[in-house]
Amino acid sequence: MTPEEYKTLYPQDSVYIQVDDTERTMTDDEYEAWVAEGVYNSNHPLP
Amino acid sequence: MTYPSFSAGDILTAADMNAVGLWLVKTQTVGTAVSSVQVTDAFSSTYNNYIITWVDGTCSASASMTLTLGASATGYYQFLNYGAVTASTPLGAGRNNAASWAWVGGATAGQAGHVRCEVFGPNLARYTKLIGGPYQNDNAYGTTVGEHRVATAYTAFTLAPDSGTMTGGTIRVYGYRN
Repeated sequence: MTPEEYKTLYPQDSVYIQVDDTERTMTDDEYEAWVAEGVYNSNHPLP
Repeated sequence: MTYPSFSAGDILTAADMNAVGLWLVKTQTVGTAVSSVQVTDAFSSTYNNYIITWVDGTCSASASMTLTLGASATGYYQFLNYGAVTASTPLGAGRNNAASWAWVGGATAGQAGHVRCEVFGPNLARYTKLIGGPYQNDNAYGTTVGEHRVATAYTAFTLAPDSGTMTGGTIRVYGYRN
């Protein structure tokens, strides 16, 4: 999966960080880091 | 009265209640399409050791569930013993000073996910132990043990899938009576 495909699946305005009962969308930096990590983990499952 | 059997109308004394070994200390409902859930005020000096569960929710992708303590993003050590349903070969994976623990639960995409792990000493200023598992992600199943090698006391933790989002279900924190 590419970062672009990941972003299409999970648009920035449709993913939330939850703290207790409060939710917010990610900052641009948070989103880019989250996408990078998610793409890596998706492409590197346990052998 | 005979423990743990009680009858309607029985008076519960302090001695009875102080014999309760596991206590539900925090409940948190998970929202929709969340990348992570932080649960605050989960750990305190009342209990040294805890069980954390997440049930009845789903993950958008097949994923391993991760756990972090407070705001700590370093010092997580862990080993996973696992295998695949398609073979009988035991496999292993390690995390060496990682940014989180992994494998504390898991999910197949669109199916019920889970977390079930124990953390020993998260609110003490010493290394926290993770007694985790069962782990599941698609066809892989396993168990794990780990340690957070930072001697700091925490009151909060965060659960997150390592890919995609989580939706629904309830996170519960139980304290083992000291």
